[in-house]
Amino acid sequence: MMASLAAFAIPVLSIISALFFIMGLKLMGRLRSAARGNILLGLGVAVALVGLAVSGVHFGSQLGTNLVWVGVGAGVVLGLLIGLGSKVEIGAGVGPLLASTGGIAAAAVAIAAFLHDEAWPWPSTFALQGGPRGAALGLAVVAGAAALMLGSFASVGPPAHGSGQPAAVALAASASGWAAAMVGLAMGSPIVATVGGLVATAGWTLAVMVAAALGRKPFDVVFGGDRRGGIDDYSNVKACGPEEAAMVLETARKVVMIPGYGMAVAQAQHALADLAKMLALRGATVVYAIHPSAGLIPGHMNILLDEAKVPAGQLMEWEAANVELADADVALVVGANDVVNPATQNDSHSAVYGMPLVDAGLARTVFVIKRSLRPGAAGVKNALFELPQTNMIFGDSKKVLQAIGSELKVQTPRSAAA
Amino acid sequence: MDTGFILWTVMMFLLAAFVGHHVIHGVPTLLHTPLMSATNAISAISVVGAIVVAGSHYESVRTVLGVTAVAAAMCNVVGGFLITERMLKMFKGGGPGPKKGGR
Repeated sequence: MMASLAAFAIPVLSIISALFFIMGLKLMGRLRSAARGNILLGLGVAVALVGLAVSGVHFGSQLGTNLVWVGVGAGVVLGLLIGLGSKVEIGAGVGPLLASTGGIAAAAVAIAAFLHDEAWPWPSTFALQGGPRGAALGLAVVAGAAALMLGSFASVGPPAHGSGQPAAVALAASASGWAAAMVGLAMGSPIVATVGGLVATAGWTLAVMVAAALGRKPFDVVFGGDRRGGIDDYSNVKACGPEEAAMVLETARKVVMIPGYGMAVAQAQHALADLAKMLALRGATVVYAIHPSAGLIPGHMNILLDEAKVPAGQLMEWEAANVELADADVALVVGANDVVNPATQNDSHSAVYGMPLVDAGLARTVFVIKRSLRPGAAGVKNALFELPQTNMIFGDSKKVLQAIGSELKVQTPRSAAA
Repeated sequence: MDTGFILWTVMMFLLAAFVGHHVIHGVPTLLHTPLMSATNAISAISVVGAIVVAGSHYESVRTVLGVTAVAAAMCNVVGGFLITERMLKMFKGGGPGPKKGGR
């Protein structure tokens, strides 16, 4: 009776658990559903443990059972202490070390399994044996060691590698996933092999994306390889895609558009006006900040925006625009550079010093659509791009604006009205 | 050992690896850090194997390894879950960037 219950329960629980993991990761990819995703991932682990409990795994003795509870208790207490007590910022303190614990656990299991070549006390018909089993266990140990190394690196690494820490943590998670997957294959646990595989590639993909946001490759970021040309003058520049801009614009109540020469080059005025209309329909206040020297000639922006049928009432001179920017949720800089350079006010040695400034940095969040970090007409660096609230969106202004517009439609298809 | 069954497990692992890449690909920058924290938390799925080793009570070396693994993995799951949740709570107020004066 028990045996048949277990035979039925294990596959069902394994499938439910795997679905929780996949759905959980998927939900974590959207701001709105991320909290639910995290809960699903927690439930996934819980269901996997229930599956183990009903699987009829036979412990050696009562002492064995007690030892399991000692381990679980110690881990839960430690986890609570770290989870509630440590800093949330992932590059700091004990957080990165936590990224190694999954790998350490898998490696410890692999070593224990390696010491004796007897069967697992685990009713599995999938378990590897002989050479393949040894190979999988060996790989698990190597991956676990890599996770430990990457985690410690992120935890105590030199400050110069600050931007590399998130990538190192993601790589540590990936290594832990590989270790778990190998243990799962060796012991013949479909759920451990599946979730391990999921984490292995999810962590790697995350590392690639984090590095790409810095314009680098993952291993270069972690181990401090050569920086790509063009961004040498800049540090701590954050880049993002149209999706993130759409997400933030979705909830913004006041948006200031700051067009520049780049908008004229890309002929992006229609795309910009369309996006502004969409935001206005959602109830946001949208104004355009017009800098006297934006574009080739004074009035260049006015002409283009008039062509795109932007109401003249929405266009503002730079001084009035700065008042609006002070309580704006988003400043969207479209192909402008020197006109939004804070050096015009605070660096008397700069070539642009003394020019009027459209102070984009006053807004809560700044998005800068630009093809690259190359300097503008004045040939100087722009400190706006390094502000913590600034996100660069690299690309052609027109294409990026169109992408933000379509992303906005996808995110809330029916709530176009305010 | 049944070669057919092993093939299934390996296939499942490969499919899962594929799914892992696709589920994460294209996620906005804003959510990279909580996702990192969450993927790291579930990498402790090897707790299943750890419990089997710890409970089997073979001999001291393996038992110590097993109990250590159970503790490390549980710590990873619980700590990672809580940190992820706290991170996501920070986002509740709106988009990225320092808050100015609150909402």
